Amino acid sequence: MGGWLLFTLYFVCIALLVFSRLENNQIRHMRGLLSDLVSPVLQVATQPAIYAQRSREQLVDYLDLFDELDRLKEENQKFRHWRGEAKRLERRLVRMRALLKAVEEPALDYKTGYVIADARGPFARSVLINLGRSHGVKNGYAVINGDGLVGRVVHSGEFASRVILLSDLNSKIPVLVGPAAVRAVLVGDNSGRQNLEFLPNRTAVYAGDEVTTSGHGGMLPRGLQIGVVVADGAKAYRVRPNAALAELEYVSVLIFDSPVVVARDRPVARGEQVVSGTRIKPNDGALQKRHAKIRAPSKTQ
Amino acid sequence: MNESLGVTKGFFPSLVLLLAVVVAAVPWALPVAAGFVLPLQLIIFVFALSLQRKYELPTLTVFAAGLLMDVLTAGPLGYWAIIFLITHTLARFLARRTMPISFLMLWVAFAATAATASITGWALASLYFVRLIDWQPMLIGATAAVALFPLISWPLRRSLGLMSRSETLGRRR
Repeated sequence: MGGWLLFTLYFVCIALLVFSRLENNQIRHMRGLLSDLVSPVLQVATQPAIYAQRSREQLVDYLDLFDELDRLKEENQKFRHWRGEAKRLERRLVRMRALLKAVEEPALDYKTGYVIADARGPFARSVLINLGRSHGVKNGYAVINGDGLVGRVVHSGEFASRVILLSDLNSKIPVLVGPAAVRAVLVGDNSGRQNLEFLPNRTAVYAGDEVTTSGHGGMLPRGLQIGVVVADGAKAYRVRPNAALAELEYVSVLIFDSPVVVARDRPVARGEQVVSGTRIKPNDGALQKRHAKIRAPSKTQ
Repeated sequence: MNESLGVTKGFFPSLVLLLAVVVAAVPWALPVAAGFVLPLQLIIFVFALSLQRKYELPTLTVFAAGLLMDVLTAGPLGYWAIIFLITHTLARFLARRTMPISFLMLWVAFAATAATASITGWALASLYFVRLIDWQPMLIGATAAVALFPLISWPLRRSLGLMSRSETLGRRR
């Protein structure tokens, strides 16, 4: 009896592994359901871990108190200078935007929660947070902490969501690098630093260049801080994220409904066309003409 | 009294294992290289609890604990379940021996089990990704498990031994 049970369980494990590899929807659904089920237990179990983490941080802070004070004084001097500079640039930006009649970017709403489970092992670099659909969280939303972007939501359950971190093998984020705003894609490889791929030919990237989200593809807001470029060997460059991805505690989910996602979510009304995510009503003659012009070159190709 | 103890035979080790899974999944801010340290400590629990004859760890609990670990670590379902089942199978094989063995021999047996479980884990993960994954975190995890085996297994075996003794005394009365 015991032998048969073991044999059956081994078989079930292998079947589950194969279905997981094939990204079966039922398996994904089951995983979400189980995550929701255990999230209340995890919320309670996380408290001692948070307490231990804080105690460790406090102890380290206490030991470095005087060095930290000197460093903060020095940093404060630098920030005073930058505050004046930032105010000057802000005024200039407002004038420039007024001249260009630029559309105001919408302010982002956010929800803050904390990490209740940490992914370990060889697979996903992800965390489970105590925010879900009941808090307005949807798949694809960006997740940040005080240091910058940490990842995005890949599965939102009712009360808990799985967040894939920047370091995960499957994480690919369109970014802008350095003051020249060079476009690239930030790709994770399960290590502490990420690679920059699809950089245009003959573009120079330097150590210390800041990396921010580009907003291309419309899935993430533009301008979220990610990290800095660091040298990796003689000629290679990688990105060191600002956020300590292995020590995440409190995180915020940005409520950012991408125009593309919203357009896909809503059903198309009769007589309405959808061109590149934009809806054209039958009586909107001007817009129809403009889209006809946009589509014209692709027809001739 | 005896009946209630009979009910707890499978319940106590199951509860201990499931609690250990939850504790191993909670964020303890460990470095990336130590990604395998906490999950591989669970094989100590599976091994030590499966060795008990009186308070035997049910095979289904081992499977459920593995699945729970898979869900909490966002890995493919069945990965940790298979590693736990291998550990359970080897421990049950050892428990069937009638001859008593010293703690040192038990430690060596656990080291062999931990090596088998971690090599299987590495091979399965490599097969899953269709590329050879980094083996160093696995080695760190397995070494930590072997080093911590006496610290975790001794209180477990001691508490189960005390439970067994109290049950025997209860029967005599």
